[in-house]
Amino acid sequence: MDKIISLIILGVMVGGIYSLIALGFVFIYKSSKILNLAHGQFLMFFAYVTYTLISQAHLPFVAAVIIVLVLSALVGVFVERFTIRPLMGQSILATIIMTFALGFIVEGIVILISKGYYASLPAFLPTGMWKLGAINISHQYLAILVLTLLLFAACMWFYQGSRAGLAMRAVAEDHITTASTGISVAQTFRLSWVIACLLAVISGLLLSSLYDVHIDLAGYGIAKGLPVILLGGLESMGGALVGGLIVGLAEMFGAGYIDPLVGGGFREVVPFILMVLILMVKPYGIFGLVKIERV
Amino acid sequence: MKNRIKLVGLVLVCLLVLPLLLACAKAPSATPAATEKVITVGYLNDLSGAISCCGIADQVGLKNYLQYIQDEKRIPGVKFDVVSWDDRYDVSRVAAGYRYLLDKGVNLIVTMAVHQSETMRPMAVADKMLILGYNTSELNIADPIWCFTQQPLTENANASFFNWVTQNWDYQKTGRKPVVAEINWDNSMGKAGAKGAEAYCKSLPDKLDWKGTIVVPPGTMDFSQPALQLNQWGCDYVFSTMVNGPTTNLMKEKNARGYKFQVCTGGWGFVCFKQSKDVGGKDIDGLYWISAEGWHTDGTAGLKLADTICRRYNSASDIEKLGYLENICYNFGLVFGMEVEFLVKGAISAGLDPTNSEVLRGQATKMKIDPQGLYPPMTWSNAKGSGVDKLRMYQIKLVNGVPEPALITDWFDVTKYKK
Amino acid sequence: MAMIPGDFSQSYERDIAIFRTKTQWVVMVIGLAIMLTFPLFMSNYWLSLFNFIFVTVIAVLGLHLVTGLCGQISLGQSALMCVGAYTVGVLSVKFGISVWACLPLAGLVTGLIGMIFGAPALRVKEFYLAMSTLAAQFIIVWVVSHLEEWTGGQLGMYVPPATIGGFSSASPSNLFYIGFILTIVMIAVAKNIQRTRVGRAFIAIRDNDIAAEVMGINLFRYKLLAFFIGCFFAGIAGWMWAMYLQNINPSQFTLKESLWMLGMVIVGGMGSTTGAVMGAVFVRGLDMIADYASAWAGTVFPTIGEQAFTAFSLIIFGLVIVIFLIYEPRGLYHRWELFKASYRLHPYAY
Repeated sequence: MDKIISLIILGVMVGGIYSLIALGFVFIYKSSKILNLAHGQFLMFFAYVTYTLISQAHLPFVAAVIIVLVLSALVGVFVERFTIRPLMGQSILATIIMTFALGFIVEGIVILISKGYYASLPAFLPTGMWKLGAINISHQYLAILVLTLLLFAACMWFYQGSRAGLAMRAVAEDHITTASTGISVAQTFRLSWVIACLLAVISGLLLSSLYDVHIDLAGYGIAKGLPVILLGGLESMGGALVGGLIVGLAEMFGAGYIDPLVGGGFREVVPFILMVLILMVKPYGIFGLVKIERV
Repeated sequence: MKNRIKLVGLVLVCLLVLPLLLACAKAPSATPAATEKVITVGYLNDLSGAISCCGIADQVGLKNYLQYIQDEKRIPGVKFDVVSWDDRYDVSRVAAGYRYLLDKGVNLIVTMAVHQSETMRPMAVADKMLILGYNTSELNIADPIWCFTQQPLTENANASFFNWVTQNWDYQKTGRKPVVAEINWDNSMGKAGAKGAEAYCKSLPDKLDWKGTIVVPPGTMDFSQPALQLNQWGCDYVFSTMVNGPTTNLMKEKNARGYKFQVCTGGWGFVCFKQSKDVGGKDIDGLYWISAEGWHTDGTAGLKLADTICRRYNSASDIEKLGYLENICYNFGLVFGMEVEFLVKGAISAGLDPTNSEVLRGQATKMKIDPQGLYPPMTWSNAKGSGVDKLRMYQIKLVNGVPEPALITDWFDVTKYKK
Repeated sequence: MAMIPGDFSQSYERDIAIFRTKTQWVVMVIGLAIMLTFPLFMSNYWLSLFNFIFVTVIAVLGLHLVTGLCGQISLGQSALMCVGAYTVGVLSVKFGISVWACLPLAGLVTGLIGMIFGAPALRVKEFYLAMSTLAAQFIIVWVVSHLEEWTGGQLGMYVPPATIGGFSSASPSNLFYIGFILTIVMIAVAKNIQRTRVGRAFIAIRDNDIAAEVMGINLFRYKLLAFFIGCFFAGIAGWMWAMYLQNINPSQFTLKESLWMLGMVIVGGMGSTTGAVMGAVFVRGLDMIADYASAWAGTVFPTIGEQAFTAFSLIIFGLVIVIFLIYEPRGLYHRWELFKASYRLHPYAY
C-alpha cells in the first residue's frame, strides 16, 4: 500500500515536471502550428547561461535570472524573425526540420559555453520533506508542481482572457482572415515565440534546481515532452497538464510493477505505448481539436 | 531575386565541390626533419556528452604524457601528434569518427568505452588498425584481437565491489546478509556490469542478498522512482554503473529523502571528483568510490610523476578549474601515453617501423608496462588477462563542509573471487 | 550534339521516359562506369564513406515513398533499419541462414513490422501520425535491446559478412560494389513505383485523401502498402548497415538519425526520387564537410578548447540547413529543375 501511494505521489510530482516541459511545445503549436523540436535545447541553453552568469560573472541569482529572461525574449524575437517567418506558407515538415536544425545550432553554442561540463544551479527552492510514515513528500517537487499549476493558469488566462491571446487564437485559425481584421500576424508570431522562450527559461531553471544539467537535458525534453502533448492533444493546455500527469503516473507504475517482469528500462517506452493506445481510440489526443472532415 | 538564386546556386556548387578539393588537397605536412618520425595518435572519445568529464581529462593526460616524452627525449627521433574526434557518447557517431581518424592518417586509436571499440572492431580488423581501449567485453576480445585494454572485463569490475562488501560486512553483529543491488544505464557498459554482479552475487547466496538491477535509460534525469525502489528493497549497498552526473542526481535524491542505502560508484573509471564536488557539493557525502589508485596525495613515485606532468603542462587555473588532479581519468590518459611509449619504443628497438599499426599490434601482444606506481604493475598479453587486479576503496566524507575522499580499504584483490 | 533551345518532348513515350534523350543515357552510363572504378583507386576511407551514403540513400528512398509521395509522416525510419539489421543478425547467426538469403527477408520482415506501426495512419493524421511512428522508434529499439537471448541486447552482436566464393563484403571495396548495385536497383524500383498506378494513388492520397477515396482508392490498403514499401527499403538499408559495420548495437539507431532522414527528404525536395538521393548525399556530405571545417576552425581558435570541434561542426551543420531551408524550402531538386530549365532554354530566358 505504501508503495502504491508513494508511486502515485511521485507520479504526480514528476508528471508536473513533464507538463512544465510540454507547456512550451503547446504554446508554440497553439499559436503558430509549429512543432518546436528545439525546445529541449532552449531549456538547456538558458539553464547553462544562467549557470555561467552565476559562476563566471559572479552575479547574484536574481540578477542572473533577470538578464536571462531579457536575453530569452531577444532570442525569441531573433528566432522568429530569421528562421520561422521566412518559412511562412511552407509545408509543416519544413518548419519541423527548421526547428530541428536550430536545435543543433543551440546545442553547439551550449557546448562552446559549457565545454562539456555539468552545470548545477544553487538551490533556490525550499528543500525539505514531509514524512508520513514510509511516504515522504519533497518540498522541492511540491514547489515545482505548484509553480507549474500557476504557470498553466497564467497561460490559460492569457489565451482566454487577454487581447493578445485572442489574437493568437485568431492567427492560429487563419492568417489571411486575421490579417484582414487588422491584427498583425507577424507581431502575434513574435509574441508567441517570446513567451515560449520565457517558458523555456522558467522550466529550464526549475529543472536545473532539481537535477545537474548537462547536454542530455535536450534529449530529455524531447523524449518526455512529445508523448505528453500528443496524449493531451497538441492544441490543449489542459491536455498538456493532464497528459503530463498520466505519463508521470504511467512511468512510475510501469517502472514499479512491470520492470521486474521485463528486465528493466520499461519506463522509457511506457509513455509511447500509452500514446499509441490512446491515439488508436482518440486520434486527436484526449483533449485535442477534432478535425471533422466530410466528403 | 534572380541574383539571389544565382548566389545560392553558387554556394551550393561550392559546397559540393569542396569534398573533392579536400580529397585532392594533401594535408599540409609539417615536414619533419628527415630522421624524425611522426606517430599520429587518434583519440576517439566523448568530449562534450554524457561522460565528457572522463573524456576531457583522459585526453589531457594522454597529450601531456606524449608531450613529456618528446620534451624529455625519451624516444629520440619520434614526434607525437594527437588527432581527436568527439563522439558525444553517441554510438552512431563512432563509425564516422573512425573514418575521420583514418583519413587523418592515425597510426593507432585510443578510445575508452566498450561500445566504441566494439563498433570499430570489424573495421579495425579489416584495416589492421590497433585500438587501445579502456574497458572491454567478451565479444571485443575474440580473435583476431585488435583491441587492447587497460582493464579487465566490466563484469569483473562490478563483481569486485560486491567482493569487497562480503569481506567487510559484519555478519555476526548484524545477524543478516547485506542486501545489495545495482543501478545501471541501459547500455553495453551497464549490461555487462549487471551481468558480472548478478553472477557473482548469485554464486554466494549465503553471503549476499541480491535484489537485482534497476535499469535506467542513459540521459535519465529523474531518479525518484529508482531511489524509492532501492529503499523499498531495503538495500544496504548499491553499485551504480553510471558516470558521476547521474550518480550525483541519485545521491541528491537519496540524501534529500533520507534513504539509508550506500551508493558506490566508479568501478575503475568515472571518478571525476572535482565535477561531482562542484555539482553535488554536500549531496555526495557518504558516496563510496572504488578506484585503482589513490588521489595525488599518496606520495608514490608514479603519483609524483603524474603531479609533475600535470603541473608542467597545465596552467594552475586550469588544474584548479577542471580538477585534473582530482580526476582518475587524467591518470588513465597518462597510462595510455605510457602504452603508446612502450609500443613505439619496442618497435624501434626491434628495428621495425613504428608508424605501422601492425608492428604496434605485435608489440601490444607483448605489452607489460610498469607505470611506476600509477597502478599496481600490470601485465597482459591481451585483454583476456585481468589487467588491474588490485583496487582501493574510498568513502567521501564532509570535512569542514567540503567533501574529501578517505581511504577505507587498502589494496584488495579483484580476482580473489575467481576459482 | 546540337543543343536546340527549348528542347521539348515530341512524343508521349519520350515525355514519360526516365531518360529522355540519348545524351542522358550516355552520361548516365559513363557516370556509373566511372563510379564502378572507384574501388580501384580510392582509399578505404572514401569507400566506406560511400558505403555509408548508400545505406542512407536506400533508407531515405523508402521514407521518400512514405512521406514524400504518400504524405504519411514517418519518424521511425532509423528504428526500422534496426529491424532490418537485426533480422540479418539473428537469422544468420542463430539460424544459420545465408546472409544473401537474408537480404529479401530483412526487407520483408521490416515491411511487415512497419505495417503494424503504420496501421494507425487510417485514423490518425499529420503530427499525430508522426508521433505514433515516433513511438515505433522507441518501442522497437527497446524491444531489440531486451530480447537478449536473440539479439545480445545492449552488448550488440557481430554479423558475418556476405560471401560468394572468395568474394567477401568485409572489405570496403567489395562492399562498395554490393552497395552500388543495390542502390541503383533500389533507385530504379523507387522511381518506377512512382510512375505506376500505385505511385499515382500515393500522390492522390498525399494531395487530398478524401478526394482520393472518392475516386475509388482504397485508403487503408494504399496507406499500408506505402508503409510496407517504405519499410521494405528501410530493411534493405538495415541489411546494408549490418554489412557496413558488421557490429550492430541498438544504440546505433537513434531518433536523431530518423529525424535527419526526414530532413534529407525535405532538403532534397519532397516527392522526387532524384531529390531524395540528392538530399541524402547532400546532408551526409555536409556533415562530413562540417567536421573538416570545424577541425580547421578549432585550430584557428585554440583557446576554446577541444570542444570547439564538436561545437563548430554542430553549428555549421545546423546553420547551412537553416539557410538552405530559408532560401530553398522546396529543396535541391527544385533548384536542379530550375538549372535544367535555364540550361535547356539558353540563350533565351523563357
